[in-house]
Amino acid sequence: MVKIIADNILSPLGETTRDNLLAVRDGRSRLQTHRLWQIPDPFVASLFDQGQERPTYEMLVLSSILRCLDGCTLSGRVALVLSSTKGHTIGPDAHPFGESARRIERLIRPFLPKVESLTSLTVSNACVSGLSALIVARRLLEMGAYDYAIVAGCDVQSRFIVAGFQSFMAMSPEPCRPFDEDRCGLNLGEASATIIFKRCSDDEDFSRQWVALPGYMRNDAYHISTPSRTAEGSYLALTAALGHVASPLCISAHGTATLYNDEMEASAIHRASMGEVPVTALKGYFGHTMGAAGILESILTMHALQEGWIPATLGFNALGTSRPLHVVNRLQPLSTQQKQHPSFIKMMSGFGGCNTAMGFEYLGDTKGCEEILGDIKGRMCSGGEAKLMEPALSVRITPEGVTLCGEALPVDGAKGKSMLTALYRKYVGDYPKFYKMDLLSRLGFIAAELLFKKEGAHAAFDQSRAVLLFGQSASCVADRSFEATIQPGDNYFPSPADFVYTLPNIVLGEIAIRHQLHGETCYFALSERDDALIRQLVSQAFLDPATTSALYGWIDAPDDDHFVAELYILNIL
Amino acid sequence: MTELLETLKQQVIDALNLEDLTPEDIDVDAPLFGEGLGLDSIDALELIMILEKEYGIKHQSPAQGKEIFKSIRTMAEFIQANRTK
Repeated sequence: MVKIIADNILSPLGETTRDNLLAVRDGRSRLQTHRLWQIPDPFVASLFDQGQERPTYEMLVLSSILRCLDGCTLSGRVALVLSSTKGHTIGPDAHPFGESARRIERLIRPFLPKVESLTSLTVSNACVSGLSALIVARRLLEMGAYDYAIVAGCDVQSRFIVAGFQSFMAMSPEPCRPFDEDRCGLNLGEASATIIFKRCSDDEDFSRQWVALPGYMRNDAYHISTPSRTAEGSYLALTAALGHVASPLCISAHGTATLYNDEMEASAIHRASMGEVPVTALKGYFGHTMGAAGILESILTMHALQEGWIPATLGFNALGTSRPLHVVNRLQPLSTQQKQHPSFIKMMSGFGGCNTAMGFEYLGDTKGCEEILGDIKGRMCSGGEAKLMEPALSVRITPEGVTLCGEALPVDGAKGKSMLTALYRKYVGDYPKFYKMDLLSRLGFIAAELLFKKEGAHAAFDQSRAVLLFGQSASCVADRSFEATIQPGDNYFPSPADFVYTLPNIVLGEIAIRHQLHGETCYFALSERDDALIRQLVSQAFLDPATTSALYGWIDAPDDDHFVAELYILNIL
Repeated sequence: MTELLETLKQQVIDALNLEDLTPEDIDVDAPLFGEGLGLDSIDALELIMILEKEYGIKHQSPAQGKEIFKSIRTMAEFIQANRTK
């Protein structure tokens, strides 16, 4: 079992979870109109003070983690699982995405004197990053690889992000209105949020504790930026997560207040026959805090339920989804009975087509606690480490050439970046979307294509094949392309097609769409290639009972002349 | 108009990375979305960006875009009527 022993929310509304909880209870928001960073149009966002010294990504993560560590002592093996869409890859002193984890690891090490080992990684899965990080961290504890996990999510806003979302015409010119009939887009937000998980033996005291239940990631395999019209991935993730929660008191939705997201979530909830369950969305208080959102909104929902109320959906007035939905429009008090043993589901969806859902359950006083614990255990179907076979197939692509299952593949003299196009023309040829992809996506797409062709006619994998990619430089080539479209002055024409690829998990979406894979998809930014850690992170994906096969490996493209993809297909024993 | 149509075809090919196509392959009256060139929602946003960048026409909402972006010809007609550069 995995329980939550500490948490913190650091946002423009306050520096502690308590501050933020009271702000939400009182209906306060820091969403306001800003004219900043030489962006031609004003925008509405929830930002930290714009003083001289803007806190960096690392400082915000560190501040939140340290506030969390204040009341607890960690020991043994600890995983530091970070969650961010962009990390510190933008602006002054930017560095490769993977490196942030090591930097933060060094910063917090002195505060963990009793810890034997500290292993760090970053989950970067677009908007679902926070919940993906919680899902992964929970499984790493469940399989016994670590004793504690510090899960910290954060993103800092910038000219880069604002210009990108403006180019997508996804920004609301006023405070956002989740699920409302007049909603017209999202607001961005800044925050840092941390949860500390502890792996517990069954005989430990769980009274007045929150337990993290198994969560799920499912891909729409539909489009890299538009959610599925049938809400496929979200529905699959939600129903899987619901298998572990007896009767959730509410659903804490993603609720970005874009036309498409909210409509899609309403469909997913309706399809899962949960239309009667109260739905709350918190973007009206914090904006969309990106990498922090899944963690922040889980913490906030947890504490609100524990205090005896479901948060109001600030900005919501009249329902604007085609499916009926019970959106909480004012603070909803819980009954005494509900208060004793609350539980809820957190949902997220994002670019790259990935959707996530995860349950949390509170065990009240010792009386009755054991019974509930037994009940929760009965609902757990996963557990234990899966027995993995050695990889069945492998491919390695570098600017110098291609090796498929140990044999060199003829590329007719093509080298470097143009070799990928040559490979596409020779071995694929019928998928012109390839030309729209950035370097990272082209690399992953071709590698997956060669492996699947080699594998031959295979059964429809649907949800059973996970795709897990690891790298250090993330989407840095696409980042530079997009930067070039947002130069100050007369050359400010932010390109949505470039912006979408500035998320490193888009390559997973491209592979999922091409091969109709609806299973788990996740991108991890690592400080360096570490095969033992990669193996561990692949193993944890098999704790999802639907996963029986994985496409995984190291994929890194720091620039047009330097790239490597070393991908494998592995099946369960 | 003919000149604008030809320029526009090349601009669309370049902006949307339609690498396997040449201007001759594009029928100016064929639908851009769905059947025809099979463009998607991100392409629609890029087309809005072409209007702004190349012709100084600002802020078309995607909803208005439906009419404007039916085909290369409807797009050219809209540009001719609204261009500021």
